[in-house]
Amino acid sequence: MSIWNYFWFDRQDPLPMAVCRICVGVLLLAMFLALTPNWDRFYAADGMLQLDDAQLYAGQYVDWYSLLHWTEGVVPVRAWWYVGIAASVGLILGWQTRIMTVALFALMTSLINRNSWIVNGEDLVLRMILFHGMFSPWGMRLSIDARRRKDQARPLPLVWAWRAMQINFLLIYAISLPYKFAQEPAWWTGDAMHWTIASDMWWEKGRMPWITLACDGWIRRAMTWGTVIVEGLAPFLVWFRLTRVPMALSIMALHVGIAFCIPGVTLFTLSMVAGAALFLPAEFYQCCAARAPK
Amino acid sequence: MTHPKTIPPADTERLPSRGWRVVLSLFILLNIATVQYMNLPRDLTAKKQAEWTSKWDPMMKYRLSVVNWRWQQYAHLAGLDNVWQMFGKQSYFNWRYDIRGVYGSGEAARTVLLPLPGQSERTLAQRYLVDFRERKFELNIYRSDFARKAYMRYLARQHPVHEGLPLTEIRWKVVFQNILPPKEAVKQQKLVSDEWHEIDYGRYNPTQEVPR
Repeated sequence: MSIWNYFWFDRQDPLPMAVCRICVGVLLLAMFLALTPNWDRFYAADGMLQLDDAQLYAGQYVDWYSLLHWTEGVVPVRAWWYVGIAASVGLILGWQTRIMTVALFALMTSLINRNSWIVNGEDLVLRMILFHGMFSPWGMRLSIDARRRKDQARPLPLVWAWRAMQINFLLIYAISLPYKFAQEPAWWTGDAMHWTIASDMWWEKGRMPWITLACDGWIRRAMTWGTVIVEGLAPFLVWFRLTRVPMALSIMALHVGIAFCIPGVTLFTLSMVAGAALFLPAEFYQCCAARAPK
Repeated sequence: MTHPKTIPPADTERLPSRGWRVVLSLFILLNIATVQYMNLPRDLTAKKQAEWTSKWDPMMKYRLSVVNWRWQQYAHLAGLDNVWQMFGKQSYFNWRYDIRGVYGSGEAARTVLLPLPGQSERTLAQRYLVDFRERKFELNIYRSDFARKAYMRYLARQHPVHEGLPLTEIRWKVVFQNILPPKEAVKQQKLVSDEWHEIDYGRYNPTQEVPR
């Protein structure tokens, strides 16, 4: 029981959560800005997926969960874009953090349910983080809220929501890796990178083909198996003090590498970097801040 | 997040009340179990469930299905119903859509490539910043006949006329080329075969639209 209490109900400095919050806010802001030209095309009632088509396509219950459905004809669909921008800025600054988090969670859920054709990985990862964020103390550091309330004098917050977010994040690897092995033999043979590099859906055409063609394919094998090793070890090694920082940095490096190589999944893979920020200890960030040029 | 080497005894003054801990623990367990439940292989679990419940009385089966339904609703509402399969299945060919509008009829008919993100000139900014959902969109509607028809209706609304001629038909094709298997690719020092193939993937005639 004491292990359970220690793991879930300890009190710790929420600085890593605050860093994660800022990263999530920046990614959401980038996403809303990138959606600007396509907002009406994706989400308007007469857009690519008409409102009545959306019900037929995804089943009737989805529209219960979408603000865009309930406010159709009352609130212009473009207004939700402004809400998204404002709430993302609020989340970055840590102003009314809890309200901003709830607003963004409701908005993300609404967008996902409004048009499931265009749902990307980042929508799902960011919504998962926002869900746990609604219960977490991630506005207690690096925020306007903290300055206004002088949070430094308050007791440290409970870690349970932070832990839940961490576990949910690690489950992404723990679940996807067996699926990879079960569905795609190329993950065993080390050839998965070949199909990704050759696919113009994910990879930019003609970019760095030597990764798979040179050295008799050993570079792609090393990259494929390297990905498998990082994803396979992450759910275990991030919990030990000795391996936590190198493992979290490895996850970040892996996803930054993917963001660089595969433009179609940049926001998704950077949202995984935001999730990995939860595992770096507060001391790590304080040390980085101390060493940063003034 | 500096952890001591041994687990310290629980500091009861710093802990929430027992009641709160029970509530929070149940909530935590519910969420972790939900994520795992939603990610069970559906075919396997449906088969196993059918085996286990084959001798149950109908009322018990009904109650189980209600619990199952409620649980899925909760997962959907909380956003915990995602199936995590990052790059689980790789594509063995490159493909793109070729969507054209036929304007006018008879000898005056003209076939025009519709100016869509996946089949028109894009600037660097559009390609890297704006089009980040296009490929996933194309992938998602690939398998759904309903989705493609709904999208063609949208295209018909967006591009009803070209140079004074009314839209009479939308023709949708998939154009693809095979990706060479790894050994062959290394041998030939290229990634894809030279041949392109195409298959007819649907037609839509806005003038024959049936009211829904």
